[in-house]
Amino acid sequence: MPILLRYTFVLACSLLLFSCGAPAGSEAGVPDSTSKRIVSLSGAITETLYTLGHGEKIVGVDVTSSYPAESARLPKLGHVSQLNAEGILGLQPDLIIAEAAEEDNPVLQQLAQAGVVLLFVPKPNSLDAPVALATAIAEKLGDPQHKLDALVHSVQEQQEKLEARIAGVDDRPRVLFIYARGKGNLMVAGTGTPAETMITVAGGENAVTAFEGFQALSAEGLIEARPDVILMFESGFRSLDGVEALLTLPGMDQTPAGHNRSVITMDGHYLLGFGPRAAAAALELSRRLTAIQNI
Amino acid sequence: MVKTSETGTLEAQPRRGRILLHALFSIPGLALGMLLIAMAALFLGAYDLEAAEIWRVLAAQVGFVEAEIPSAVHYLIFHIRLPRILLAILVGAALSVSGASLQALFRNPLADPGLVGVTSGAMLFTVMGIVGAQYFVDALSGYVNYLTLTLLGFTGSLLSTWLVYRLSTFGGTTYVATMLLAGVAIGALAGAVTGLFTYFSSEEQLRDITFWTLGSLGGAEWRAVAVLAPLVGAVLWMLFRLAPAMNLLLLGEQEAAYAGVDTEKTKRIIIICTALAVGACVAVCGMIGFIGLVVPHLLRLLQGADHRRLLPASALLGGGLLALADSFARTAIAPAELPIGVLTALIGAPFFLALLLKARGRLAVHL
Repeated sequence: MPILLRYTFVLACSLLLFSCGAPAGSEAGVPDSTSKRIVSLSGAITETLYTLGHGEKIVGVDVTSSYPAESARLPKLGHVSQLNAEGILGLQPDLIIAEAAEEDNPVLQQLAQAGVVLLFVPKPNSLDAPVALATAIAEKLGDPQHKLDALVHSVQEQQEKLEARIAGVDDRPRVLFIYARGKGNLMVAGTGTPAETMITVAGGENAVTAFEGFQALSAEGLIEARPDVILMFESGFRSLDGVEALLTLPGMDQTPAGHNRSVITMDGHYLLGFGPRAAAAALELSRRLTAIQNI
Repeated sequence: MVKTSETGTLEAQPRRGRILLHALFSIPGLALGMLLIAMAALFLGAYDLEAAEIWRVLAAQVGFVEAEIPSAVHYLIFHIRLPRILLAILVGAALSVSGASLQALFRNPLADPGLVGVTSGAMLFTVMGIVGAQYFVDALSGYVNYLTLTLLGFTGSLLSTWLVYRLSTFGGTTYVATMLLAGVAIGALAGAVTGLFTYFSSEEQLRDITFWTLGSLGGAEWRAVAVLAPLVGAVLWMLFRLAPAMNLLLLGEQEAAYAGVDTEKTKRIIIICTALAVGACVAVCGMIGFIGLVVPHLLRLLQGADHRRLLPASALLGGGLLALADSFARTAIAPAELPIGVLTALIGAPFFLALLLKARGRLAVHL
């Protein structure tokens, strides 16, 4: 917190120096090849902006923006449902990029009325999403085609590698994704979740098909799911007390995954952010799944 | 050890301090204080504006001077800061006066909208509204949205308060102990059903619900003020008129009835009015706790329990305090924002404990 406060102070001082008389915001509706000060409200958007070379223009990010490491220097605006209208205006942004689900966000509506241009992009949830996201952003910022092409090519390259791998595999391991926030708070991903999408493209199969969305983990459900592999976020894994705590969960020992101690952990935004690194994450997951199968 | 006189700690302070304190907490003093806080809040914010600039904008708005005002600055002052300050004052006043009235109704200083099930009922119905909104989301926009959520909050708090009231009233008498216990039970029940709804809510709705239970005045706009202002105004007027009856209620229901108070009618009006005020506040800005408990308490310790003074003083102090707390919430960790509900509880709870310690054993006398 002290760091945050100090940061705020420095920011306030620098704003005081720079903001005297400067008009805030630009006129709504103008295409923004000229956007100089961008606020990004999701991790995938921030990552895309950096990949396209617009990292220097970002003046503020939401709490989910943690990659690349440079973004840590940026003012954090908190969670997207707890935004501070005036705090954001104080950053003097001329473009705010957010996910389409936030179109009704009252604070963003206020900012739009204050004259800041808003760009809503669809929430990325598939391997094709990163390219669509990057295209939408590049279009808005008036980027030359070759900049976008570099990103598209690298994504396509990873995707081809991934497809080549999957083509050779006919035994799809059953993967159970566990979202953990401490020992007493374990949720598993059912059908229609981003986790399922990622598991499927990486050549696995979601161990849970009984329900849609997330539900609390139960011992019986765990045994019924018969997972070969447990997949978790690194942060979620850390919220448990080591691998032993996970393996001693009721029912875990009766599953192949628990029996073989097959646990894969990956960074949350890398694995399920569906940003520019999504294909790379899928490729890595696919490799690790194969490695476990070959033991 | 400081020796305290029979009249209590606060009154035993040196004479000059006492006069100052009384002046400060008199109705004109509180009104002036609230106005000053509101003015100061207008000059405070994450966006750096020079005071001279703000004065110029204000003067131009009133028509004293002709000035070219940048639209961004105008928007910032009149559409972001001002409605938010007014909303804070309205909500603070409504919650404080509701708290004071419920405390009179229950003849119990611990009565708080949160304790007797009013807030949890409002919470349950508003969560139902948030989760249910996906089925008729197009119909809910702008004013309709505010009005629907307000109506839902009111329905929920009225229903839970009425239920608690019915459960604890038999043979024409309301049993306060039963009422408090029933309030706790209804609160737990409403909390459980709310939990059930959050279980079935989508990820985004869950996020909305979570942040909404923390309370926030962010996104305050004129529409919210327009919905709340007449409502809170009417409720305050109704409750102020009941102040003499509340004074008599403190003597006991029978005694009040002998003194000519229509106790049942009085209790009914208090219940409906507080349900309306609390329900609307919860619907618009989520759960903001402790204001309704701490403000009337502080005033009772300073100036006694005469409701003719206590109710208006609560409105002024509550409004001022919430505006002050909100100014802190929106500037302390700017450009991010602290949840106001968390802030009021953080300040309110220790403050309340300190008051309890200071006035140990004297609360019963004051009520």
